[in-house]
Amino acid sequence: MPREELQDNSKLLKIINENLKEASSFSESEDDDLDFTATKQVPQPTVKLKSQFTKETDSLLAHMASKLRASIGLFGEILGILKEGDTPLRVKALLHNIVKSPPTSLRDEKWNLVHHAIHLRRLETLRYLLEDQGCNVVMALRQTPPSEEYEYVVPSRRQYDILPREEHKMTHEESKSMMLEEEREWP
Amino acid sequence: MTYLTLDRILEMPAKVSYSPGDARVECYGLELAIRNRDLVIFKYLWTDFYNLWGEKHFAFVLDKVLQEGDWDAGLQLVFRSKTSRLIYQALSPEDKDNFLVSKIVDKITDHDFWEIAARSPIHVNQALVHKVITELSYDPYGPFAVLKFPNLF
Repeated sequence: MPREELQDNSKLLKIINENLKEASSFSESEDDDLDFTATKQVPQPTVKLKSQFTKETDSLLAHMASKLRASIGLFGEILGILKEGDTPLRVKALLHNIVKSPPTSLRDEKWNLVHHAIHLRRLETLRYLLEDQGCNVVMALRQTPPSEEYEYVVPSRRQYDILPREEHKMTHEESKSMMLEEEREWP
Repeated sequence: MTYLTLDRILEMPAKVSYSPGDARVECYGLELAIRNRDLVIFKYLWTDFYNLWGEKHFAFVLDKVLQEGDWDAGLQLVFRSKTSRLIYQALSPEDKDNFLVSKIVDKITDHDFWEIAARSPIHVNQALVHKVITELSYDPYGPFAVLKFPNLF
C-alpha cells in the first residue's frame, strides 16, 4: 500500500474517532436530560363519567327523534299531495333517514309510515319502504303496534261500522252458564 | 243485555284497543286496504308477503271482505290467491273441515253471527252466499266442501 494512502487512512481514523467521541458525549448528555419520571407531565385525557356521557347521548337522541317526528308530519303532507309513483328524491332522502334510523328509537314512526302509505294508496312508496329500504316487514305488517297505549284508528272511506267481538264482556253468570253448557257437551 | 242501535254504533269512534296476538293487530295493514277497497295494495300485501300470514289471518281477512258486501274482486282474491291456497292446503284434514265449518260456512249461513258478532249494516244476502259457495267449489276447497256440505252445492 502506498505511503500517502496510509497517511490518508490515519487521517480518516482520526476523524472517525473524533466523531465517535462526539457521538458518545452527545448520547450521554441526552440520556442525562431524559427524565423517566416525567410521564405525569403528559396531559391526561379528560374522561367523562359514564352517566354524564349517556345523558348527553340521550338528549341528542331525543333531539333527533323530535326532529324526525316533525319530518313525519311533513312526510304525511307530502304524500297526500303527491301522485302515485311520484316520489321525488327529497322525499326519498327523508324516508331514508327515517327508515335507516335506529330501530328502537323510531319504531313508532316506522310503523306509522308503512300504514300511512297503505292508507293513502301509495303502492310505490310502500314497495320502496318494504323492499328497497328493507324496512322490517314483519314488524311493520305482522307484529304488534309500537306501544300498549296505542289505539288503532281505522281511517276508512266510510265510517267504521263494526264493533270488535272482544268488546262484549260476559258477566260472571253468563260465563258460568256457558261453562256448564260446555261441560254437558264434552263429558 | 242492551244491544246498540246502528246509529249509536256509527257514532262511536273507530278505535280498537291493543291486544297482542290478536289477528286484528297483525292484519291492520290488510284491514286498511280492504276498507279502502284497494285491490292493488291488498293483493300486494296478501300475496307478495305470503309467508307472513296464517290460518287466523285468512279467517280475519275473509271476515272483512265479506263485511264489504259486494266487493267481488276482493272475495275472489281471498279465495283464489296463492296465499289462501297455501294456508288451506297446509292444514290437516281435520283442520280443513273445522276451517270450512267455523270460518266460512257458518259465516254465510248463520244469521246470528251477523246479528251479534259482526253487527254489520250490510246483511249477508243470497247473492253473496252464492258467490262464496261458487268459490268454495273450486280447488283446493272443493273436495272437502262438497263432501262436508253436499246440500250447499
